[in-house]
Amino acid sequence: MTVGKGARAASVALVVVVLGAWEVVVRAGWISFETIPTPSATVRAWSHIAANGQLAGPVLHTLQFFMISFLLAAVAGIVLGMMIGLNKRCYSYLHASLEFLRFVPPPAIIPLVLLVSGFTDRSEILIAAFASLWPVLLNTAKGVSVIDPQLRDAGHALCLSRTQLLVKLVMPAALPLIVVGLRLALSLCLIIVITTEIVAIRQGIGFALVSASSALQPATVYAYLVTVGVLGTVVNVAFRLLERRVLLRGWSTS
Amino acid sequence: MAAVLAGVRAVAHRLVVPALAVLAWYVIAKRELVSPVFLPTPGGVLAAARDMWRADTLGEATRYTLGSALSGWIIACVLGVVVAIVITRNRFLVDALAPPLDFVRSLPAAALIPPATLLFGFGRAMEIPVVVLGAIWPVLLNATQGLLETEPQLHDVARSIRLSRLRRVYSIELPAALPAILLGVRTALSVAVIVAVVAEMVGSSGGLGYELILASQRFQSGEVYALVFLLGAIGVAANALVHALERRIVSRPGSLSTTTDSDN
Repeated sequence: MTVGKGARAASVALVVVVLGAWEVVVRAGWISFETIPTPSATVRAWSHIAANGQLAGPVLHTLQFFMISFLLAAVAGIVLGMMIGLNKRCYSYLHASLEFLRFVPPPAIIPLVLLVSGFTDRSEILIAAFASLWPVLLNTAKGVSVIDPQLRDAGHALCLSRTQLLVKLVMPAALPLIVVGLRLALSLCLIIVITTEIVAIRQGIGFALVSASSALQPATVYAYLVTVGVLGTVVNVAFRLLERRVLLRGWSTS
Repeated sequence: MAAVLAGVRAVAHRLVVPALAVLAWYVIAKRELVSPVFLPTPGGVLAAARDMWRADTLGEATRYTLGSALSGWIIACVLGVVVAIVITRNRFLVDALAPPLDFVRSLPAAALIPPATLLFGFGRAMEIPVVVLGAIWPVLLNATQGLLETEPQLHDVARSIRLSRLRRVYSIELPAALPAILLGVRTALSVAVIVAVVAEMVGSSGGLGYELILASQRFQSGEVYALVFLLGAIGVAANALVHALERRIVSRPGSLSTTTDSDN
């Protein structure tokens, strides 16, 4: 959605007014929520955990595992997707099964992986990578399978080798769809990493959220929650910047 | 006859890979190439499913999960459409609300479980609000987009025949936005099931998510596989059901069937 300047100012004003009103209402003692902290208490809790290192550790763990899982999913998804998509027969046999697997809820595999590799770091990566593999794989397979036959003929006429054909023709043509898959995988991967930490792995920002909640520290819970939101936003913005570069480059070579 | 044959062939075509996969699974599990603690045989999974069915754990857990997911989904759909109608009365409001809403939307639904347990305690009282917050976004976003994209001519017509504001929403904007809204509603259902299961894994004493974690902790691999397959089947069935419903509603004579490309 495009946001005008006036709307942006209004949205800042809106947030400030809502948070301010909340602070005032609670301070004045009109209502009290024992389990929802005021904005100022959340800020205080945030600077507290930021100062004593309870913030950086979990955030770094989550980011690191997110990146490893995402890279794994991206590479495996693109390679497998190309192998499947470029082979017409293979694609026609696998298509229905892959579409079916797409609708399996990703968190359902958490217990399955836990069963096999226990409550370990490896499980966290396996779960997140497996869940975010599908968007990349399906989009890549679709992208490379719908390549214009004329383009392929042109490649053959130019006596391009298989690798050249792949790099010069197939990849650029499939790139927009692959990027869509990567973008879907990106948000899914972060969500699954944090979900896995909340459900099973006793590390990272997801676990920090759970432990603050079971220690009955609402302000700390909300401080972590805001951090999770910032993390998600930063990751998305970073990818969008990267995407613009890669996509533009892809178009200029094709 | 030829059509039937082609249909049979198409189905057989789709089943080749799953059949091979089950066969490979059977051979690997039967020969114990992988420890049976991790990989039960297909027969073992069926037996575990049968036992859970007889003890009614399967039925009860499914009812529990579907109950939370469906009630959360319905609330999310109604709330999403109502909020969309309210904010689309004013384009400026939509723009101003977009950034804060985007921020809240970027939170994984699972991350809402810890604050929700503080507020509502454990169990269903926590599960349903988390499902609503997780599933409302596709409905809200699609409905907002659909309502904003009502054709200007329709607005002109509404004005010229002097429809009241309420009437205008009900008989002009909503029908035009229906395809977009239904797409959001369909996405919301799969999200609702997923969020319900995750909430049960963390903080409920019932449901498929709870049974899954329990079975995994007791190394009951047969039960784990049976539950995972059941969840997969529920996911696929829910999607297919709403898809069918969607087609029926959208192609209903009398309703406007504008197609919008609001697939996210």
